[in-house]
Amino acid sequence: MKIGTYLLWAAMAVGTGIIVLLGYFVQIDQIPADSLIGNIFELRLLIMGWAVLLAAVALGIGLFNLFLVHWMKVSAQRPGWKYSAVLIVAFVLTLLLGLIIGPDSRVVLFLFNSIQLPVEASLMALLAITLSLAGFRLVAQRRDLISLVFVGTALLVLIGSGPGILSAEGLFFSFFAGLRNWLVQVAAAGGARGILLGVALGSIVTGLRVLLAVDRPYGE
Amino acid sequence: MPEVPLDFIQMIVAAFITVMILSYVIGDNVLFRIATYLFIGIASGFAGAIAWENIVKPTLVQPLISDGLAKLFSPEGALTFLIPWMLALFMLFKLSPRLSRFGGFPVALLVGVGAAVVVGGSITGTLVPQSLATAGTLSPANALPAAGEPLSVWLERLISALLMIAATISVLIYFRFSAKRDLTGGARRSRIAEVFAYLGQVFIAVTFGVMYAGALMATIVVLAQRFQFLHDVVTRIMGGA
Amino acid sequence: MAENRCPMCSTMNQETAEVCSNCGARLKPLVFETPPSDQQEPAAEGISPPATEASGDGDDWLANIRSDAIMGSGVDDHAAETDAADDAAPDWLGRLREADSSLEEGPPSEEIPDWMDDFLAAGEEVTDEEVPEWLSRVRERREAQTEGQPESDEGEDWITRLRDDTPDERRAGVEGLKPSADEDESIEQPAPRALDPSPPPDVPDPVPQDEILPEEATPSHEVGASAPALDRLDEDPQPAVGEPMPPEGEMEWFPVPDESELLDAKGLPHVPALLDEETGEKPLSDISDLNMDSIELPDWLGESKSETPSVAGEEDEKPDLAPATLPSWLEAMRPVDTFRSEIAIESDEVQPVESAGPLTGLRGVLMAEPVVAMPRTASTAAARLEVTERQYAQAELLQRLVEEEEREIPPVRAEKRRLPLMRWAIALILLLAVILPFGFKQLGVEGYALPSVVSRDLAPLIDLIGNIPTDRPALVVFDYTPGYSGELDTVAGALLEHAVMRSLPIVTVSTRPTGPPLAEGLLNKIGASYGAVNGENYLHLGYLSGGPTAVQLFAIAPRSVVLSGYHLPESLSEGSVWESPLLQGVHRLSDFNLVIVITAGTDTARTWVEQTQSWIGDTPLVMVLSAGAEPLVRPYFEASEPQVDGILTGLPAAVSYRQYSGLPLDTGAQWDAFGIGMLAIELILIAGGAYGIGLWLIRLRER
Repeated sequence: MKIGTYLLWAAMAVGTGIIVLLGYFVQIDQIPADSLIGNIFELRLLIMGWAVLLAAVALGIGLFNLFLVHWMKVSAQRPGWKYSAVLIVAFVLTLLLGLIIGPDSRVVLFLFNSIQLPVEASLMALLAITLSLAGFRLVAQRRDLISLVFVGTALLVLIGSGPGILSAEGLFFSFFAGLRNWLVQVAAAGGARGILLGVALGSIVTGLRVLLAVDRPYGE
Repeated sequence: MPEVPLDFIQMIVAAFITVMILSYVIGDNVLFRIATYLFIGIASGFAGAIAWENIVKPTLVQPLISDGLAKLFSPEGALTFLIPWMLALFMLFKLSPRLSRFGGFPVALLVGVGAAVVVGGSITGTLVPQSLATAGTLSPANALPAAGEPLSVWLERLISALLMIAATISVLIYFRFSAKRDLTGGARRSRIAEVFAYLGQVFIAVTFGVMYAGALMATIVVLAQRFQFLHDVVTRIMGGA
Repeated sequence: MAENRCPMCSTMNQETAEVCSNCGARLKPLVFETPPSDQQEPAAEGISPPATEASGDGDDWLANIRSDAIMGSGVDDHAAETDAADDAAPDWLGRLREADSSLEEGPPSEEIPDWMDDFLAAGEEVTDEEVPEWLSRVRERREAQTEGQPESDEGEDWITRLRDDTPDERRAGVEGLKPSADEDESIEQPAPRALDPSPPPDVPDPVPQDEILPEEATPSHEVGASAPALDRLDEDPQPAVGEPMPPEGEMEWFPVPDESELLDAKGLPHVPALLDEETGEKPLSDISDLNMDSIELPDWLGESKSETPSVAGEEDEKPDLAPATLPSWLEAMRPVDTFRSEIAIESDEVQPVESAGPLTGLRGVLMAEPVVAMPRTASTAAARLEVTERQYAQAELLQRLVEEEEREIPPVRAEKRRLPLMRWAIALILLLAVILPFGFKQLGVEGYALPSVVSRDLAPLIDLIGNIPTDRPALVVFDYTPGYSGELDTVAGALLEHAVMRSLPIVTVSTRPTGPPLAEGLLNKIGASYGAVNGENYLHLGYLSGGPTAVQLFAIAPRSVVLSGYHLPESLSEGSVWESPLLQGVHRLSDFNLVIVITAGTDTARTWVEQTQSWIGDTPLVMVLSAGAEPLVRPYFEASEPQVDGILTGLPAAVSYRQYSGLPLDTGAQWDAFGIGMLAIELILIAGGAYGIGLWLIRLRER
């Protein structure tokens, strides 16, 4: 990769990033539309619109790559190629139907409601078994303070959230419900706030590294 | 022959798919794999179709049909049509290993805009407001008892506020991994930092415990809903029969 | 003393040497002096020279010699002839000039060999007319011999006398010479040949009459050395090298005949026939490059040779012969001087005798053993190999690699599949928990009571939805996956149903591809109860790609990012979705009455909060969350200036919402299933804790 091209890509990323970032700190309502800054803001919207389009094109490229991977698997008849063939048939059929008759047509919605939705919902239902098993093993094998706090909090929240061991009414449930609310609204909220602040700080640092061309994920 | 309603067929198929997925409880099997690969294919096709319908087609194709070529050569058309076309075509170069580097132009734009959005949103949407919220926890309105407020209530509010501040600060200290190098060569934080970091760990465990309980509840609801659905299908079949 | 180079092998010899000490070749050519006619002795008695057709007077002596050779020699004599060599005639031959003319008449009268007796006996039977003159002379001589000699000397013949008289080297290959009587047993006497003194017509006279045969047998010493070696090959594989040759004069079997006896009738010395008269082949003696060792010598010849002293360069004979003139053809065979090697070849005495191989016994050959055959032994220094530590380590590594390659990789045992019993047990418990409530009605079991405790967050939310104006639409964001539809459809359904019940216009949008169909499905289901129709009561803006960027852009300018809708009514299929009356006056996010974000992920919720912060204005933002996402969204709600105005989380909150908003409660079976499921999970966790405590106590007791 030539140095000139690298600098061009970095200039593109930094330039567009700065333009977009400026919009967060300026009240656009107070800026005349025909002024320079107003034009910059218009350009900002334009750039963001291009980014939305490119995100959709990138989704299409990702889908094509998925198709290609499974196509190669079927061509080479690697282990599991039959499942890949099922995937390819379903992918092509749904895409063609969606492109031709629209993704909101009855046929496509039929495929969505009869296959995609039940599969995802069932997978989520299986997660209940997995999470329960994980909780059992955690509390049975690890006996440090953090693990006990974790499982204990979960148990208290479960008990205080709804029916279970205790009915959703009565004094006991009221106590546990209050305890649950305190745990969620105070203890967990404080911790979550700290997590959110930490995540925000990390996101800011990562974004600034990209805007300053320190990190160049778009290629050299 | 009576017309079979489409929703009935849809229900039957969904029931079969549900059973195929739930069979994973016994172990990995062919039915489960077929159902998952089918799901991936349909989900991918649907995503591509809706992305084309809602984004690509209205931006790149519809203007050409509705406005014609005349608009293409106007300044507005250049900005809203030609440049997006060029960017989309350059993006397609990413499919070719030889021409992949030409796809760096639109990717650079995408990355730059995304980074700016994240930075701007984090600063204006989380960092500042949450910092202000943390500072405002011990505001006089919260710290001081209100008129006629019971003491227990005020104490509870005060303790809660203090606890929230402590939780926020301890968690932030826990995420600070800067340390001094001691005489033995190892990195060690100061004792106060170690205490607060451990406290932060406890609050993080509480937070994650609440999240875990919520996930359990959510999945139980979904599981119940799945069996509710199967029950409805069986009832309808038996009722129909 | 000047040296004389041998013309055959280029060996340096002494000046006075007549034959080469190495190969026996004559160094000085024989000059045959024709004796005067008065000195020419007649042929030996009884022996007449063979008549030759093409020869003149000079050939008569040759014929005589041939006849002698025919009479007295056999097969072995041929070998003896080869030992004589063509260029080294015995001394006796040199004295042929001095021989009496009586030699022409045959052998000396006093030395008639015994083998002649047969002839004589046979001849006695022949009439005088048939007996050749020479034979008669032989008889006469024999008679005279037997009369004058005692019986004891009967075996002594003329050869013996020759032996006694002649000192020097004896030539084994001399034709016509009979070995000693002592060795008669080992000697095979061939039958006398037919006397055909005339040489084959096609063979020219090899030697003119004035030429004398080589006087000394050159290879006698060589043969003498090799013959014992040949004999000893069977006995001792390492024959002695340099075995001394028997001194001269000790070859009793090989008496040197008087020269006078060897002269033919004309007084010319008898020379061996150059060509075998019978076969016409050249005698082996004429072959100069004959390998003596390849010839199988008779035992008597070999012993005689052992007795023959090896005289290398020893010259006792005085060179009284004039150099012979070689014939042209012989001269042509002579090696050219210019091609002679300049390498100084050591004398035969200095050179060692080859003791192994096919050239055993010969001198002057390249020694094989010291150069080629003998294995070399390495020196002590070379045998000691110095290895450095690094080399040793590398060698060990290499050996380890080789061993690993050679080691058979044990077949990978298929891991015994462990049955997931615990998973099956928990799955069974949970499945029973959610299935069992379906039979509560049949079993007559009361289900769980509805929640009585209401969260303090619920009432403000209910008030918010209940009091929101309906002149502007509410934006509902469906940002959850179909996996969470089982929960969020129930939770959001309560809120949406409240909004639909209040005829609040709803506009949906999603940043996920699966959002629009979920929105259509839920609103279609809710609207069916309240008569809400797509396009009139609710509208779908479709899918937005780009995540936070799309949200930010939508918040600023929704009309620029949403170019088409989803599942639009027919009235709006031709035009833009923004032409709908529901979206009149909506240009940014703040133009909506309410923003409801339905999501199960904390990132999506955070994105909407962050990106809409600056553009939402006073529009309330409500979060409908999955139970697991509540903790990370609550800080936005639990603030002095909250960014989120309402939170609805989980099934209990939704049930409470329905309960306190006046909405119909149709969650009976689901509530019981949820309750039993929660009970099962709680019991599982408690059991796990009890199991852990029990294990800890047991281990504590074991310690």
